Amino acid sequence: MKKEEEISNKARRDFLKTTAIATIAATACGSLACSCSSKKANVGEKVKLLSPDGEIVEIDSSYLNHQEHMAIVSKLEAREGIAGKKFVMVVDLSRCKNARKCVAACQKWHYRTEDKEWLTVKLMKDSEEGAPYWFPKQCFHCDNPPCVKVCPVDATFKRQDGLVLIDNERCIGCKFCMAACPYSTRVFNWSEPELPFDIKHQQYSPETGIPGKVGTVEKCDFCPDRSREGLLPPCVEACPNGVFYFGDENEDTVSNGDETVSFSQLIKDRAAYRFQEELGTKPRVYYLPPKDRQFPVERGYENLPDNLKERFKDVMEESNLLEKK
Amino acid sequence: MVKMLTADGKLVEVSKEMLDQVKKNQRASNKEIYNWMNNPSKKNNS
Repeated sequence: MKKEEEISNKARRDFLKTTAIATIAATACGSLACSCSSKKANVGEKVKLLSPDGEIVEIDSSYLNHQEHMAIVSKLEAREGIAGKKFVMVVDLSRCKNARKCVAACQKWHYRTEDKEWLTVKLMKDSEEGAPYWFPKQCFHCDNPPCVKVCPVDATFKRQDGLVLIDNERCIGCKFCMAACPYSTRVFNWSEPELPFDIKHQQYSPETGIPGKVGTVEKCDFCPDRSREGLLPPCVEACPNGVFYFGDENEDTVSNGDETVSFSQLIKDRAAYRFQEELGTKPRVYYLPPKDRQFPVERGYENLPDNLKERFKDVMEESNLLEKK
Repeated sequence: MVKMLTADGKLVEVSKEMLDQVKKNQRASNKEIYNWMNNPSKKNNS
């Protein structure tokens, strides 16, 4: 009995503490209200909520604004993944002009600074005679992931829906996974992330990777929190040219926001390939070859800031697309 | 807007006017909060 009372008191303390933080956040960041999603649940469904002054109130769910990025699943559910799904991405290289909207959208959604790119756009050139092309690259969520095998603390894991995620609360920052990943898609978080107050104090979830933890490894997570809500990842939505298709292999459907197509038909018709497939990692990202490109490669170079131009300068010069100085 | 928690830990916002309408100014007891947190139907509460 006494034990039950202790548990009850502890639970109450924990919840009141969290509510107090939420209340402070609400007072300090009143303007944040507009950043919340306007998604409404069904009218008539009553939800019990804990008010900041310790009262349990019942409110119609249609009057609630859900805070984005709040953990919506337990740690166990986050590790198991979404049953019946097998997420897959297709990248149409013929449409990419390095607009970098995908990179910006990813950084904004995950509260990452400009120097941390979970999704990068490379300038690839397959042979000396061949023309270069833009190549967006993020974690490939391999079906045979070397990163998962080498993690000594089980911080990075493969889920039933195909995603490879990282639990930053377990990660010890040993970087074994970074060394094991043949695609160099993981980044190390060297500094304390600068986050808004309410994001910094929200409950961590491996599905969102928020709030980020200093001294741990991060990478693209295919935004499973959005998938649970039936939304496409921000990179897919942000791309003005429909480069990225995202969907479910089990349903055999992928969408780039504008069009929804059959996954199997798309990769068959366009002769899709997987990056460095010979490594046996079985990536879950397919590329459609840059045939009949919609934009000249220079288009993605001209308007870049100088620091980014420097990245691609060598390949551009080699391809005689820039004058050598 | 007032930020509040659902039983399954989601952060939601409710307008202050709406909250004032439903408030009874009765602070919940430890047992009530314990029951609220462990409500078996909490998955359907949001």
